[in-house]
Amino acid sequence: MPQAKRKRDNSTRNASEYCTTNQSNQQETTDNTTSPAAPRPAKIPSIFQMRLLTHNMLSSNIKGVANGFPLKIEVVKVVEKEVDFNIDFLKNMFHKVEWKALVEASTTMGYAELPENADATMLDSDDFLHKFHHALLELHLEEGALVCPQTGRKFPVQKGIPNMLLHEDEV
Amino acid sequence: MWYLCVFYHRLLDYRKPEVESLAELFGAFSKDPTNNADLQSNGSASYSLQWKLPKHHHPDSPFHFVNLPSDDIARNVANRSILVKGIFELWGEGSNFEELEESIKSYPDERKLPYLTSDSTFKIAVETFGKVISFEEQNKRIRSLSYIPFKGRVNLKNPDHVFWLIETDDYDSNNGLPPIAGRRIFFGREIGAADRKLLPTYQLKSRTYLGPTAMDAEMAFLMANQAQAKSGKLVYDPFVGTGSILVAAAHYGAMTMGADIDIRVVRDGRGPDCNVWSNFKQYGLPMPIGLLRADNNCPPWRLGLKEVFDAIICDPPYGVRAGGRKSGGRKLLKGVIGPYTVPDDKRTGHIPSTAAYSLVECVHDLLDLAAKMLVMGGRLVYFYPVLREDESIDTTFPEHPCFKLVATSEQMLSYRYSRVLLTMVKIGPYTEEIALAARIKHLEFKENHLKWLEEGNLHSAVFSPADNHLNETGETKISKESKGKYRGKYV
Ligand SMILES: C[S@@+](CC[C@H](N)C(=O)[O-])C[C@H]1O[C@@H](n2cnc3c(N)ncnc32)[C@H](O)[C@@H]1O
Repeated sequence: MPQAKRKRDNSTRNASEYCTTNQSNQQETTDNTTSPAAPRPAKIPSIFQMRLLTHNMLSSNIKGVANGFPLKIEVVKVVEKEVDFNIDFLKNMFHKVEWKALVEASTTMGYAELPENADATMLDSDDFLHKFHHALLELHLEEGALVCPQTGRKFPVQKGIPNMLLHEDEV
Repeated sequence: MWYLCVFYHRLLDYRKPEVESLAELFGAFSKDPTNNADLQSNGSASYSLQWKLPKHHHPDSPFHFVNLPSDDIARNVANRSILVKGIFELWGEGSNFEELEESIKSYPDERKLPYLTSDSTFKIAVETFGKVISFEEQNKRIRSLSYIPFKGRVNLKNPDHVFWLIETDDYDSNNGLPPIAGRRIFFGREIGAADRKLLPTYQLKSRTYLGPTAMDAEMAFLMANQAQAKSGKLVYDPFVGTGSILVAAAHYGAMTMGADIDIRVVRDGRGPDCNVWSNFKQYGLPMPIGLLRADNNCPPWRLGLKEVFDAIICDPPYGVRAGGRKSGGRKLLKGVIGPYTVPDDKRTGHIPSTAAYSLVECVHDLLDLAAKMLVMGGRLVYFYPVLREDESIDTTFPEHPCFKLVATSEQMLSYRYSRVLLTMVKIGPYTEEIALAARIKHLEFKENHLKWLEEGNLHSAVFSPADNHLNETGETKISKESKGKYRGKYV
């Protein structure tokens, strides 16, 4: 596609696109009788997904914000999806994860089975690995927001995609 | 042990690096000295193999000899590769059939007999380069091998062992093949070969969600091989677009993550069944761990997060087709208006404006991200554009104290432009000093933007490496004549 055309598309489509998504998102909120505090996993399989591993890696990097992690989760729609169990991957990730943030996030998403504290010896326990797997990879935030703990700025999550782009004055 | 490695005659610059990356992936450079003749004396990791050319062969020839530690490694490498037509245990070679016979006869029996037993099945394939021979002619050549004591039964469909009789005649450059002086005949046992059936399966034509800069399947698989993607590893593409590079990484079992600044591409696609996710679903591949909208100029990762990705693979947003964008508006950078505050009531629906993202800055951000986020030994694999002047690339590639550049593979896109796939391995930790230097550079770039924008030659800044701005009269001096008969890197 020629560059010039692409650019024009950008400016015209972007604005309206953004509006429609916002509307549908609001509709979702009102249709959904579950309150954000007590999310009920949706039944219909969906391919959109934001997992808690992603949440565990993100922070609000707004200029001047010192403590942008962990982002609070505002739940509109959570889905649970079975994902292949990959022990190498779990062991690989265990050392990279901020455990406390994962425990909090999974509780917000309606799963409170993770132990308060964890250390590498627990990786020998099958039961632990399955819980870790479930929290890290099988709970998906499909619609909602990630909220900066310091400023309250919301990073919307729509169709499982967190929008982490900053505004001009936040860079 | 030396093996004969025959390549497909494509993407010539990509052939050896692919074999070397896969050789490392499959343990060819293990630290066990009894296992590896190539181990460097200081015991440090090595990334290249020993190669030799057959007599009279041009470096672009499809025929090479490569030293690999074992049949198993050779098989794994060949079977996972995209560009290896076959890796062979060479039983004999010669300039004519008499020499070939002598050579095969003198090859040790203990290496030959296990593959000639009566309870095995086999097939002999005949391959000629530089000329076509008839079916009868082929059979005649097979019969001429009767001095080899084949005891097994012939099975053309699914043999235990495949033997190849490969002949290269002397020819001038032809079909894009380099000229070879002198006839050479090889006979060997096939150890492994690329599975190119992958390519039609993954070809872009059948991809549900396509963008103008989607990476073609062959290149995406080559990139995933350079990155050594495999099960248990996490691979990140900061310019994910439609996800075509991650699809290849996921095929090899890696977990994937991607980001893009363009929300329409990464979130919306063309509807619920046509988006980045559906590109994975289409092939039954595991979904990416996460996709996000983010600007690689201000990555959204938390402060302490380091060494989390095993590989970063991407096609950054430079070049003629898709210019990069970064957040922070043009006006702001230009200093026309003061820092601008987005009114609160406009925030939710606000579309951050984006400024052009120059090549140097883009590469700087990418290297900084990779230095921080890759595990030690992790790989950064990305394209770098070069402008070709007078047929030679005089290019210095980006460098970084945390990285060692282990492969550069050029692909010519036109007379003027090439793209070079760079493979860098992280060999040093991301220190405070490096982080600080990167931060300073980051701020410098903000000022440079202003300059480039005012001078109005942003495009050339985007397309040429640092301090090497071409004078943009737009005229190209390279004449059509430079296109010789032998096409080298065009193939
Ligand atoms: C050459 S394309 C890569 C296409 C991708 N390989 C695919 O399979 O579709 C570059 C991508 O980078 C994105 N991009 C441009 N500037 C960016 C930035 N600052 N941060 C993140 N992504 C950016 C563009 O939206 C575009 O999708």
